[in-house]
Amino acid sequence: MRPELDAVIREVQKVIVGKSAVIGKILMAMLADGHILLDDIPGVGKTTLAAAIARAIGLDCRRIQFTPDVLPSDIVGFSIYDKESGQFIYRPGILNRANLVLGDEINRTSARTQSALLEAMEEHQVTVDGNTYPLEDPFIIIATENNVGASGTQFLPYAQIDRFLVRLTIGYPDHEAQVAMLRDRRQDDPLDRTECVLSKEEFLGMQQSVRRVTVRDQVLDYISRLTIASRGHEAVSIGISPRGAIFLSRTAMAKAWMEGRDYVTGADVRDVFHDVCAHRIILTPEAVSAGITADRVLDDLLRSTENPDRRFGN
Amino acid sequence: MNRRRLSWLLWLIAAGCLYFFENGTGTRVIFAASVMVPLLSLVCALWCADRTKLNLSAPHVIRRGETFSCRVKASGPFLLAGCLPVCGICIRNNETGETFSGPLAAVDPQNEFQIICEQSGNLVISLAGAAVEDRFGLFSFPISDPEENTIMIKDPAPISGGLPVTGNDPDTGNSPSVQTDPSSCCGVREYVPGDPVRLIHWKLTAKTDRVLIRENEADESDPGNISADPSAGGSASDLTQEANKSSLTVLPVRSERKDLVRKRVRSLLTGILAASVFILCLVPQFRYGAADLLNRLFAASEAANAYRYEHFAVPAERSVTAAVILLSAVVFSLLGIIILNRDPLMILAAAAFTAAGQAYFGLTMPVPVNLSLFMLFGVLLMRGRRSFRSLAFAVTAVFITAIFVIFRYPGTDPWVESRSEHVRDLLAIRTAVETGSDLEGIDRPKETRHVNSRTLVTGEDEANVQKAFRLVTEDEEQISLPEWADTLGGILPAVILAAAVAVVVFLLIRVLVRRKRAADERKRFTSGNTAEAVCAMFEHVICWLDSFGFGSGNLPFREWPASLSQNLPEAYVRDYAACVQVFEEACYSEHQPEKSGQEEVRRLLDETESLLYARADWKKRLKLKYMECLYR
Repeated sequence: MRPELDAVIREVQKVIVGKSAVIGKILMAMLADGHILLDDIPGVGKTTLAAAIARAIGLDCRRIQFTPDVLPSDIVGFSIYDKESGQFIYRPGILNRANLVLGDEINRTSARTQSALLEAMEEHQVTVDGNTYPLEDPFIIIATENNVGASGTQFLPYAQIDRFLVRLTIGYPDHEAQVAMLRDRRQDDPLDRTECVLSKEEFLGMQQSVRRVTVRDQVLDYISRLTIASRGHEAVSIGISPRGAIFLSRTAMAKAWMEGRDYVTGADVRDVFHDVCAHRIILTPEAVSAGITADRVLDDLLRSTENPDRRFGN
Repeated sequence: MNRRRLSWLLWLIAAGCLYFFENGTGTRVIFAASVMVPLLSLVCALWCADRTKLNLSAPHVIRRGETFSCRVKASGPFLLAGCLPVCGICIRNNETGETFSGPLAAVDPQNEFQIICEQSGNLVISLAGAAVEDRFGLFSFPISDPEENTIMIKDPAPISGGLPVTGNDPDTGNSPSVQTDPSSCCGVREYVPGDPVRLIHWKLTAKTDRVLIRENEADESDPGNISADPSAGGSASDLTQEANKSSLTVLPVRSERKDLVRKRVRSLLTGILAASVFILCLVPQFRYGAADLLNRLFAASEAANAYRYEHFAVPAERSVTAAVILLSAVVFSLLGIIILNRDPLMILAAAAFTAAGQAYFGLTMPVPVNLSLFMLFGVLLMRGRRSFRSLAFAVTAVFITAIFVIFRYPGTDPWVESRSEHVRDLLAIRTAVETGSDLEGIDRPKETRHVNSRTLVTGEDEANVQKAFRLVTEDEEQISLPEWADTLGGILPAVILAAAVAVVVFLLIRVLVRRKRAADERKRFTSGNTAEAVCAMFEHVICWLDSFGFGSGNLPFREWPASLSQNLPEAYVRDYAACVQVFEEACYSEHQPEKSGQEEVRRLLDETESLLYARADWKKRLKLKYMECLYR
């Protein structure tokens, strides 16, 4: 792990104790310039985590609490008529001013609002009244969804889930971590004590370096074989899309860079495969009723696809 | 000892005795075939054991209470015709944990069985005890990795309409309508695994703390367990017992009605034939005919072998044709009984009787008759369905043996002949001493005499009694060979020698080519391109590890140390872990690794070779040097 990123993780761990793996994965997704879906129970610290990361990296963090009546204009901004100048002036929304956007309970809002996020997520720009306003780099959305307490929620459609790079869970802290967390919060909020250890420009530079990591043809071939195998698997009705393949390669590049290398190996692809692809696979109803999970299918695919390490000798 | 193997051994002894006492081409062929055909079948089974796959095809989803069929099909190399795959079946219900296992039958070439299932959940069907046996059931060789299939059982289709209601409801005077309160129709009972979830009575379940199920007439009429009669299967008692225990029944399929009819017809015919044999034996004409035949046999045997028999008294007027007809009828009936029932013991007894009779009388039937008869017995003894393939195998094997024996070793063997005569003399002397009869004529001339089949029919002694020994052995062929047979007999050893030489040369060339290719590979280890050298050397290391079974299949190489440390020393695993990084850099990055990295991988390669070579036994070392050519 590169020392700069180690420092960021240590800083964030002051706030969220004992979750270095998840923090590492979030950083990996951010370096790969992708959006993160946090699927978790309420109260484990999703918002705090996003805020802590933003403070440690010196990014602007904004939070949107999605409710069924949130309008798209709240998010992307709107044009309002200014009496004095006689023109329509654009008032920016939350997205325009933020680098790290935490969207809480994204599955509680209407489809119109959800689709307003789509353009922003893909192209890093918003269009209002025919005018396009680019968003500031870096732009990362961390969306959370609770599937517990199903009042008013709708399942996120597959097309939108597919646009998230990774889906992660934080989970409960263990006993020691929870004790440490309670101890830290006796007097003040540890979030206030978080310092910025990495500047925004440095972070953008890191993203550029990630894009320059070498990916050989054998690794691309491996990714392609995995995704094609997933489409033909007997328990799968919709497999990994080409977008999923692109995300897989980007995430592997980020992982390789984080470990200090400038080349991607087959093992990197295997390590990120579950995080990137578990939410992209739709199982057949028979498989679901037989108790087969997406993780098992992915393990099956990894076991049966030939490793690229073996293809170098010839 | 296995009953079949014992029977085979006993039969070999009988065939050996037949050959010993009636030394000739025909008996030699029979003895050779009795050894060769099962051996060939064994070799086929051994070859096919690892190369046969048993495919189990079953539906993916069925409904509870349905009968569905599964098929087991054997696929393997061409030599599968000479052997027989067998397997048993094991069915496990994942939810209730019930298991059912039973023997199946021979998979020749495929077998179908039906399953009636009253459970719900998921069934896992697997083939247990899959093995390849030779055609006579003497030895079996297990097949690894039999297949497994999962079948999901859905609830049966819901019964449409409610319970039949006739007339008006007496309490409220309403016309019949759909029952609204389900619990008023009939009782409830506690839920057991396997009941359909849709019948759960939620209201009552919420009130009590047990799960209750609505019970209506339709459910009550469903039998919980079906124990059908698996009469077509092998061990019927096992299957019935198992079926009684679980709510699962397996029936080997052909249609049951057809099987029952077949069995009845078979037993009927056997009864008729046995009765007719019994009745015929009572007919005086048959008895006279049999006595007459025996007299002729005695006469021929006496003429050929200078034995003495007590002849039967036969009345002068007797009808030869009637006797022949009756005798043939009895013989064919007996054959018919044997063919119909296919009891191995009966068949072996018939074969042994035929052999013993020929040996006792010192007379043999002509070779084609003998061969066909014994081939018939052999085919009847083979297990599995009498398919065209199995017959083709049997005929080919016997044919090859016959050709080999007839062309290479025709006629009588003087050495065996003299020994068997000696034994016969001893036996005759012994018998004469015991029974007190005279010993004249027992001290016999040294010539051997054989009788042609013609003498049996005409009753004339056409045997050349005065022939000299050498002349008899040269002239006495029970088949007459054409002239070109001699040249063929001369060419055959040359052909075999040439084939053997060709095989040896081919193997040699293969080894040489492989070694050359391995030597070229090694040149890459010292190439100037560091990345290429490192990749080639590391691939070599992986080949070594795979060849000793230490490889981890599809795992990336950097995750192998965990499994390697179970078998190899710590120091080696550390070196391996360090070299994996060099390998990854060489393969996946654009820049070349350091020269020091190449040196490290070279050291790892040498270490691997010496470590693993030291662990190998001599067979493995030969394989490494000449077959896989990994070692110099």
